[in-house]
Amino acid sequence: MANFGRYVATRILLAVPVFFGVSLIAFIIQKITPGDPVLTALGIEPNLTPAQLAAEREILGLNAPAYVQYLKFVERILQGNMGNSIFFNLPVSTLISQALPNTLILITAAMAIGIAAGVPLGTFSAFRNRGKIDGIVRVGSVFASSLPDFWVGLILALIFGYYLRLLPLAGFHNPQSIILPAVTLGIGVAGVITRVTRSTMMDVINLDYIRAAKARGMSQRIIMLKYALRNAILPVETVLGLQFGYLLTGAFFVEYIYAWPGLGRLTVDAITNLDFPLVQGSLLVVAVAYVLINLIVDVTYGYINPRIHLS
Amino acid sequence: MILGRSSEQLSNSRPMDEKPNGQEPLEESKPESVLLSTVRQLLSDNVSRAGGIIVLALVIIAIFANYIAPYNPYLQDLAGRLAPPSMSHLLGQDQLGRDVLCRILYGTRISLEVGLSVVAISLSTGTVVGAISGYYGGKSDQVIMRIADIFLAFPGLILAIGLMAVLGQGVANVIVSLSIVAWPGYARVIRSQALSLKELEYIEAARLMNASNFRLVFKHIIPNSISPIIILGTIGIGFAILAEAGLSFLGLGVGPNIPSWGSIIADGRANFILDPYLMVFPGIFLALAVLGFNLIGDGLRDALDPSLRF
Repeated sequence: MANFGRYVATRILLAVPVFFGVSLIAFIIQKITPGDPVLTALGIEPNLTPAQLAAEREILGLNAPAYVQYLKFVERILQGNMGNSIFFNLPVSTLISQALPNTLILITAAMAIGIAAGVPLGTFSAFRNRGKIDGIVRVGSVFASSLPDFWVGLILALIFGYYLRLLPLAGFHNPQSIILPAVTLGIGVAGVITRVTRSTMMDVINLDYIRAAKARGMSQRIIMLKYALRNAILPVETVLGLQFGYLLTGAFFVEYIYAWPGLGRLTVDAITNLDFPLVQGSLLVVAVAYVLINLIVDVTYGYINPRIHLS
Repeated sequence: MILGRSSEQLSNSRPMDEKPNGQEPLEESKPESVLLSTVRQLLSDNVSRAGGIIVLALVIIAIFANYIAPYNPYLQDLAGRLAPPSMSHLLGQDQLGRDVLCRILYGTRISLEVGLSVVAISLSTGTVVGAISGYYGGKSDQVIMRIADIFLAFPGLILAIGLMAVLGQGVANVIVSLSIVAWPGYARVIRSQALSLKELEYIEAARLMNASNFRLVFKHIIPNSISPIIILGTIGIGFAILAEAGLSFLGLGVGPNIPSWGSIIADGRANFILDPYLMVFPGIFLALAVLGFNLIGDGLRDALDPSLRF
């Protein structure tokens, strides 16, 4: 247990410089952004004289050396102050805290769809190794992860939203609104989970204990569900953690297409509106969320599989 | 001595096709080169072969786009705007009357140009940085890997979106943004290769023979990491093509008028209910291109490094 504690502490310590690095990238993005930072910070285009502009620069600390500006920036971020959105004239933190839960709901639903489709397909395909069904599942899963989310989203909206009129085309008005965005996002995840499940299942079903179970005359169904799947599921769990980044990226496109009021749509709109404080804040939140999730995945995996932290 | 044979032996040796005493020459049991056996294995697998055919077709389209495409992809014909598919315009015309098929065919060029450039830049950077980091270890390794971790802290395409928001549209900017995003992933894999390779006996032997660090990294570590480099590169092209299309779809890609599959889909989105063909066909090309590279990448993984198989 002491080993595990040390492993967790190391992982957390390693994440600290990453957080600083991420804030540095966000700071650099702010610095190289076109436009006068005074006007950007004030949010409007005031008629200021050169003297007033100079005074504003002093107040905003823009005359200080770059490293002082960076440290002030980090201080503000740590206090939860990410500045004001130019377009909405509201604090960036308020806008993000309204949008983030919607993105998390969408990602969770997509993940659930990915697991519900991917695990059974991968298991089934592994037991039909090199057969016709396995071939179809193999190509199908690569195809599913090759499909562009934004294109699939448009096709599904056209079929189910317009031709069949079964589901809402866009927005977040009722529980059905989530189906199309979540399925769009879940297809790619299902493809990846199918491939990983198939691969790990194929390793497991060649092990001695499965052969022993077969020799005892157990049905394939029991071997598959009770013995093989349980041992094959561990790597799948790791991949699920890694899929978070993919889903977060996909959410940017899917939210844009379906007008889903999440972080992705907020960011894309902010880019279109040249609302750089909001772009910067969103990127920062996405990176921090991503690092935290990876940290949790690493620690959980280290707990489940002691060989990781013992090495 | 040439390859272990003295010059006398070489001069006395018979040409390969000469039959000694009228007998058939004994076949030399030469081990097959890795390249040849990989190609053989790829060709024997139906799935990889399908990927190869798709990629080959795209390369041919990209090279000969100006001969294959019946019209200029920039040519506007406002009288024929939003015209449905017909014999003269097989995939119809967009909202500016431009021929959709021609734009898709020319879009192949942009996709492959971006895909190949991004992989060439990011993979070579990642390989050199990763090999140096893994080989030298210690503080330089720590610093390099922490820098890579910072870039990896962003989901790839989201960082590219942020960079494009600042840099502005353009083919070069897309290539730069996606290369910045992609190199750390490659560096991490090659570093772990270098870490295990540097412990091997032949590296130790080369070191004892006074081989310089530069020689060890560039003549031994990197060439022996070629399998993951090829696999990652192939799949990376697919990723870069998809990423470019995604950026162009959001209006953050190569630019408004340049035919890119992503921007053609974005143009079609405005009328996708009434004229779905405008976005369906470029999407099929895009999905097939990514699929082609992914299938070859998968086949290469099976052939070169089954331990990486998913």
